[in-house]
Amino acid sequence: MAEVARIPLTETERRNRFAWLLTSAGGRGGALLILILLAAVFAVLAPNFLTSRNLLNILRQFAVPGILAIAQTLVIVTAGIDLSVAATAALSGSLLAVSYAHWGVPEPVAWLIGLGSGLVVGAVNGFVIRYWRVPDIIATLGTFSAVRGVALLVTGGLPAPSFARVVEGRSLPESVNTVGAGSLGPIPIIALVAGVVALAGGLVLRRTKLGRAAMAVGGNPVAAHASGISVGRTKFWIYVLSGLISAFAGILLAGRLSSANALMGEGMELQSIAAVVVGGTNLFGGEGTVGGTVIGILIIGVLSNGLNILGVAEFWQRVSNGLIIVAVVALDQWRRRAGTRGGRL
Amino acid sequence: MNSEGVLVARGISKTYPGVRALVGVDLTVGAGEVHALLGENGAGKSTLMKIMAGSVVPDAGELRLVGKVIPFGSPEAARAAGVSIVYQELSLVPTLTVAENVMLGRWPTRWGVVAWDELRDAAVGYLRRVGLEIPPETRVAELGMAERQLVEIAKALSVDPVVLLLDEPTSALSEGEARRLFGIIRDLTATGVAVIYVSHRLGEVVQIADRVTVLRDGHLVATRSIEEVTEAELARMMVGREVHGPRVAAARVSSRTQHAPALRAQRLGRPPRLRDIHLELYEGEIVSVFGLVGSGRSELARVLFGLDPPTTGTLEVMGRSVQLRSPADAIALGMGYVAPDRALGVVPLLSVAANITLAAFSKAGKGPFIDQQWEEEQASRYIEELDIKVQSPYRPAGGLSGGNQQKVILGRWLCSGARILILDDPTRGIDVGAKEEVFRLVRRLAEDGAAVLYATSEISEARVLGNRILVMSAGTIATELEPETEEAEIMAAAGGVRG
Ligand SMILES: Nc1ncnc2c1ncn2[C@@H]1O[C@H](COP(=O)(O)OP(=O)(O)OP(=O)(O)O)[C@@H](O)[C@H]1O
Ligand SMILES: [Mg+2]
Repeated sequence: MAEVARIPLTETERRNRFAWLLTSAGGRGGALLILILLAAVFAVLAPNFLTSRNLLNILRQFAVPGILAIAQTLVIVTAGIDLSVAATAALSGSLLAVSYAHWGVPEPVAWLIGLGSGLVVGAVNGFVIRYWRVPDIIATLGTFSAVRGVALLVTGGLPAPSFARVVEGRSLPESVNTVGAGSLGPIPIIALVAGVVALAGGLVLRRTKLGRAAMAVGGNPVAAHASGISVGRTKFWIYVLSGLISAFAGILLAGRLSSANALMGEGMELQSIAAVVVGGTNLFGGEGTVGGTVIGILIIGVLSNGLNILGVAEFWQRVSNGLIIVAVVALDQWRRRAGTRGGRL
Repeated sequence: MNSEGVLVARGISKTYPGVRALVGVDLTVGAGEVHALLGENGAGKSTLMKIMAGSVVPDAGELRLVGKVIPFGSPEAARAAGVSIVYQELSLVPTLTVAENVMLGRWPTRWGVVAWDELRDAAVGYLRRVGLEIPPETRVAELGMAERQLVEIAKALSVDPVVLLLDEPTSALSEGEARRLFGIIRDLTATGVAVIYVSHRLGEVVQIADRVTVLRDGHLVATRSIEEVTEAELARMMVGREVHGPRVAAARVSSRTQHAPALRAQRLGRPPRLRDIHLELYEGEIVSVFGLVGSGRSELARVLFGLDPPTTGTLEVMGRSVQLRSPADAIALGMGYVAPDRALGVVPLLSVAANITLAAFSKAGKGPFIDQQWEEEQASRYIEELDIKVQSPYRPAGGLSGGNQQKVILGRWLCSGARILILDDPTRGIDVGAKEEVFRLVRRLAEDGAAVLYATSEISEARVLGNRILVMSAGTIATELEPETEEAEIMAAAGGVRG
């Protein structure tokens, strides 16, 4: 039978020790190593970087983009892409603020309206992709724009709550302020919540039927179909889930900023995609891990925070952000090639 | 010509993570020689072929063509030196036309634009040579497996190779088409072309090859002249033990029980490729469906499984009239399907375990979760039962050899508890040892009461396995024959499509 016994390293493998090192840490080794390396560099260069205050600040700042990136991971695993995550977050936060503070609905209802808006956006994405056969990137490009428009209409372009329109001294619901801006001891609650969302996302991907179906649909839609898995239905529910998670992230964002506005979180959709890719998930679907994405968003967070502390101008930060993303993915590709030299055609 | 051999490979080694695919293999092929490469699934045949074609880089070794060293890992260098390959997994571009595929990368141009007439004419020449009479502007996506295979061969011929590598070229072909390919191979070798030929069909190898090299677990077992060995010896060398080939039929399973048929089709069809199918399939029986390429054999399997839902006629499953709109419907009715092309069945990035349980979600525990322990049990059970060669159930299925991937898909249907199995050429690309296991398995399933429709392009398989043989031709069932019928007679009944 096939040789299963331990096999000594071959020449190539020995030559690729470095690559092997990168591969070793649970497959996402490449990204994890870069994260550690990056943190080490900033720890040396910027004395204020390695303080608990600063590190907690990174977590606070990147909790929302992190949650959006988890939604994005689920979608990308199906070989889709969701450009509407940040817009959905803005709509949900705005709707919650407006409905609670301006319209005066009870707190739970405001939550439901906020989260519900995410479900609706996700369902629209899923519907358009499934039944109108619009490519994922186009469908969500549509909602990317339209949903921001709706958010602007809802808020009238002003931050919400806005003084002129609030009912009897209402502002954001207390619960939203707490999860968005509160702390549990020294730890920001928003970071804990993001951690829970990451765990839940990982659970969905690894342990549930929907997650498995998503992997199959992204990896080989023909085989998935022939195994009785509906490609359309799977994608539909994944987009709904993505909408729901994004809406939740929007509410947290409103809480962190103590107010919502229709334009908040701009650019976070691209940040979320970058985090997913930097985390080692294949843009062409079929594989991906939430753990990788978490590392991905941390890389992005550490980088931006470190550069800030070093006083690098914002314009340069944009440039270096772009370069780092490409570099990390290029490194990952190289690592994969080194790991399975050759492979299939 | 060159006493050293046109193509000389020395000490080729290749290790994939955890698998030694090749260990110091030598191979010498002379001008005008047909050299067969044999071995079980996963023996390393395809890996060796890919290394010679430059698409896989070995860890060690050397490759010479007409005395000159060829650099590894460069398909362009290999092609420039005259190495042409037909991969086991087809590599056509489905969205392009047949002509564009045949001449891929070498489209003739006039004043910088593609000269379509020239392209077409050049392609037609090669298509004729392989006996494919289809309009060259057909899209490859519209072709069946056999036709694609022939296009692939035409493509390989179109570069006027010095060495032609054929990795299981006949696995999708009927016997007639295979014979035609042999004719082409003989013409090529007469002009000094060297051919390396991978096949699991030993009968064919004995016919066409001059010499044969056997690999086992990545090691070279022996290189022999074909006159020195028998089919049985070859099989023994490959497997490392005695093998009894498919020709030794086990007791046939009992036919038609008293019950209603498990599957009954009346005037079922999907014109224009399939029409007017009358079919009854009983529990506990194996019905072979034999047909040449284009006879509608594969289409019948697809229609019965809901992949191409039927558009005419009626279908009853277990006595109940049903509508099939998708494979999900068919699976819910207890059906399973194995495609001739593994690429359509396996999800390469998912683990072997996940691939095995993929169609059995309903049994995977209540609620939204997949019960981990259940999955592990199912996976180990079928990996053992089907002797799937994999280190751990959690390895990605894409790393398995072709034959083992096919077994994973069979395992999927055993796992889902399918009672009606639609098998379309399930032994395609499976080695003799594994084939035997598949046959035994199919028989055992039928003995346990499953109804099996066994579509095949090999008459011997149709006769050995089937309780009866349905012969297809021109999109419908031409006749029903006893398994004892002479091969020639079966072929004649199937030949209607050519006439
Ligand atoms: N890209 C890959 N990554 C990891 N392992 C691989 C890869 N390709 C092949 N292998 C492994 O190398 C071994 C040899 O595979 P190969 O495809 O050469 O077998 P084969 O003799 O062609 O078998 P078959 O008759 O089934 O086509 C197998 O154990 C297979 O699992
Ligand atoms: Mg092979």
